[in-house]
Amino acid sequence: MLAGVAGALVPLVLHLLSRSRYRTVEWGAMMFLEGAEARVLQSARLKQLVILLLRMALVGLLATALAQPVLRGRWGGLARDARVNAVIVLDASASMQFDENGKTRMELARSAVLNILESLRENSVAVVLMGSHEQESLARPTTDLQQLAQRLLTLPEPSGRADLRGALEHALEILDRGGETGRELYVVCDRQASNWRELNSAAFRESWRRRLGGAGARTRLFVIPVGSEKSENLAIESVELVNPPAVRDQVSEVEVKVHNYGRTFRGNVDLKVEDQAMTVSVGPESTASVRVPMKFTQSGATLVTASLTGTGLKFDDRMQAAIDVVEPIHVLVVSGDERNVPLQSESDFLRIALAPRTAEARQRGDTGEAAKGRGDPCRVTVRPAERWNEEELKTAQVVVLANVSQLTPAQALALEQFVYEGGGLWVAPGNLTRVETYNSLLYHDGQGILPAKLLPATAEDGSEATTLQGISDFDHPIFRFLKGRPDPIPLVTVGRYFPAELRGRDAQVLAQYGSGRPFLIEGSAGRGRVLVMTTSLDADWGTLPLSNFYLPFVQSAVRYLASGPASERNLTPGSPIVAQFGPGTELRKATVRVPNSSEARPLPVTRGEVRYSRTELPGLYTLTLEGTLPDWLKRRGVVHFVVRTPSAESDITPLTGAQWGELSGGLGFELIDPARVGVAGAIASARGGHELWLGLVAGVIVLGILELAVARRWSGEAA
Amino acid sequence: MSVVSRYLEPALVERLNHLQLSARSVVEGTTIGSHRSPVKGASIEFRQHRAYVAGDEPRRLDWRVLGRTDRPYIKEYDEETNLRCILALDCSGSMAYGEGNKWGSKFDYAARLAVSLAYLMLGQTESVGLCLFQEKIIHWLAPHTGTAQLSRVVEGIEKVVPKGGSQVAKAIHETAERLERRALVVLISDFMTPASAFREGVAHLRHDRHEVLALRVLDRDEIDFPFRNWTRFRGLEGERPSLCEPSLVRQTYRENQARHARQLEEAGRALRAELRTFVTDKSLTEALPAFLHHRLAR
Repeated sequence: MLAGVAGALVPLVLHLLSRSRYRTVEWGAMMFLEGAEARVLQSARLKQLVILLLRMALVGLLATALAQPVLRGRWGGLARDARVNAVIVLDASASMQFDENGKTRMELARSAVLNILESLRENSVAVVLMGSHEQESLARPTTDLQQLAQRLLTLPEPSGRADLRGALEHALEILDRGGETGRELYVVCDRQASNWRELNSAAFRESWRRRLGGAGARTRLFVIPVGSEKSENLAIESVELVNPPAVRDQVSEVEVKVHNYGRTFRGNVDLKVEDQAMTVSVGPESTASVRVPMKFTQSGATLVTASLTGTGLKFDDRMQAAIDVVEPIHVLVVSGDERNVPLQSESDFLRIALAPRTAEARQRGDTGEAAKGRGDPCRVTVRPAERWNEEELKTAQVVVLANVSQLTPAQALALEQFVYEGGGLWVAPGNLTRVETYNSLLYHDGQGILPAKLLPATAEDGSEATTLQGISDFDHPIFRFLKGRPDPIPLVTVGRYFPAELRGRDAQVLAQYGSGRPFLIEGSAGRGRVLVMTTSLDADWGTLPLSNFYLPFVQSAVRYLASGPASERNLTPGSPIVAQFGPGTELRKATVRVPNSSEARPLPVTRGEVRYSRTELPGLYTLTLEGTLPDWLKRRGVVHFVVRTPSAESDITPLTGAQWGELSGGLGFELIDPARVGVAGAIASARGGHELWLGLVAGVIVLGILELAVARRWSGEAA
Repeated sequence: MSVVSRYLEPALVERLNHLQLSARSVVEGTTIGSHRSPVKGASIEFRQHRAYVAGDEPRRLDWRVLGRTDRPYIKEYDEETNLRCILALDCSGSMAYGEGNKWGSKFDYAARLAVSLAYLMLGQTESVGLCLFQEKIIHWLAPHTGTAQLSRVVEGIEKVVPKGGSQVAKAIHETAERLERRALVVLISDFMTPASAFREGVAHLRHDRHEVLALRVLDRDEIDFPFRNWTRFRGLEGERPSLCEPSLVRQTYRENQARHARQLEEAGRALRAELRTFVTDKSLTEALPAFLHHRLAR
């Protein structure tokens, strides 16, 4: 406003400039001019001064009117104490990136905050909090509103998930520390309905209202929603491997999910996954998924990027996935029924399923590259139960106990240690298995690594034969390969099996028989995973190895077990980064590189793992590790983590008028909609002041007419 | 001829050929013309008989009356003479205003007006003279007839550049003194001089029984005063410069200008001298014939 009022000097400057920059005319009729000049000199000066003052007043009044001033105090009818303690909660979540005809919602919000700051009187205290999980407060409470306004201009790009509840509670704490009078709380946000879900519970509303009007310290709450009610948005919801981890030189499927948050059908949307282009069609408010086969020729950490050409928000049109590409998985099969006749023991079937090329080469008597496991997802080592020792666990990632009759206590202890360090154990009992040994050494009354207590096998005569019927979750990494198949439940008959009783804590049935008994049970211990399959891996007890389900199932289960120690690479903001690896790994040194920074920060290594929890900012985090690393990590020693903006931010469905009304009543706020009223004026009205802009505009019009009339009259044009 | 044609537009010449400028009062000429002369002498129109006195020319005797009555009588005729006209053109600095304008300067306009009148009257076999004046007469061309006189008029105008101050009254007095016989005096000027001086000069001419035709030439700017923004007016006749905001002096200027015009008209009316104003934005081809028509119609 000051700048505008200073603009009133412009006519004066122009007047002086025009005086100093006159033009010269060679004139003949000086005799008429001389008389005129002599007579009008005094009045001319007066008239010039009057016109000049009129013009200056016109500009000054216009500038004042545009600033929407408010009359307060004695003549404004108002507030006894105009000094205010204000906390402004600014929604800095990712949805504020939405472009509203050339201006982002964040820019509109910033303007609204500036309006609020302008409405505060001198010596008012203000603070701006970022209403996002990932942003810290902009400043401490301050009376230097000018500086606060300037700092608003340097805000980082909005990102992450809105946390209005946390911000509001924090705001009230700040107000409580600031005194009991003039407490004002502003929320400047977009119209996104999902922002308010956490605040809409009856319990919260009740406690909030109580705090808002508590003990003589009434707080006025204003909500200022900026932006439009547009809700059309197409977003990449997820990018992930169907069966992690990816194995070098093996085809892995990457699944990309695209969600349409709008209410119109979106056909033939261009989607690109790395260098593969395709189209996808998504119905209104639904998700479409695409599986893209990919082959990684080098082991190590890699990134897969998917992008689409969408509308609405831009941040969710592109998504990265951090993927570990590992060397072929080393599987140790401890076989309790090793025979010389082909396809008679469990290990034969496992070899074929896990390393088909090697198995084929062995059948041909080939000892070349194929026999060494080239091109297979796993390297399988088979050891008869009576000949295996604990040393062999050091190089294995997954151990399969295939129809092993019993274990020695030392072996059980070694296996326990193996699992705790991150190894994967698959227990597949058979006709030779003595369940009491397993129960006593591995189940250990629910305290061991076995997730279920095995009961004696069903009748040998097949009278309790059953089929594989229920898979509890097709989104489980082991069974994801079944998704999209027309007949996802395999036609498998199981003649005998071991009924099992689940350990209470974390055991989970992943699949079950028609009899209702568990077929596959998952558990975890330490960093590792344990699977118990309650029937045999060979064809002695059923048709499982003969079905087309067997090979992908076994490969998928082994991959899942092998990825046990690998922590999640794709995170939500605030989730800690954890880098830990399986047996035989020893980390010595680690550094992390965070988004928007090229600086590598050192991280401590604690008990063989590295943690980093400052992941508020979405983007790529890169860990560089030194020490004894797994084979797949040795080449570069780098692991990627991608922190993704929560998909809830992509849902920009606005609150309806009725919902605003309900929230306003429930939380006790006054809604100031910039689309309908001026922010400064509405705040002033709420405080009891009078807006002056209307009167000032009228004054501008009157002055304008006056100036025109006077100028016309005195310039003689009217005559 | 090319110099003459600069001052005479073909369209104007075409129109002037059908018009004439005549004196309203009796003038004295040297040759037989269309204007009635107060000098009686040998001519073709009989006026009266009078008794012969010694010294009269014997050839003027009316021998028929002498034979019939035996008394000598002299025959008197009204002398038919041509018009003597002096074109007095103001060459002061103020007449230079308008140079570079679309219509040209006032002097250009006045010069074309003078040459046009000279052409018109010489075509009527009148005698035409030229008087160029500033603060005093700077060029005098005695009245004479014949087409060669037009070239002399143009040559006289060609040589002069409008500059310096003007003393209209003084110039008129000088003109009056140089005129021996009654004549038509055409004053062409902007008359940027006090009306009293104009009155004084014209009174002198009228006293000597000359007919006076005052043709005032003005630029449109001098009437409307259309200037905007701060302007420094520098006098073309050496007056003190004046810096002013035109919008603030416009009204007074116009009032002064109108008052002066009114005073000139009053002076002209009182002294029976016709005053006519020409504005340079109006083509001479239109304005001069209109004036002549108007004059003939009166």
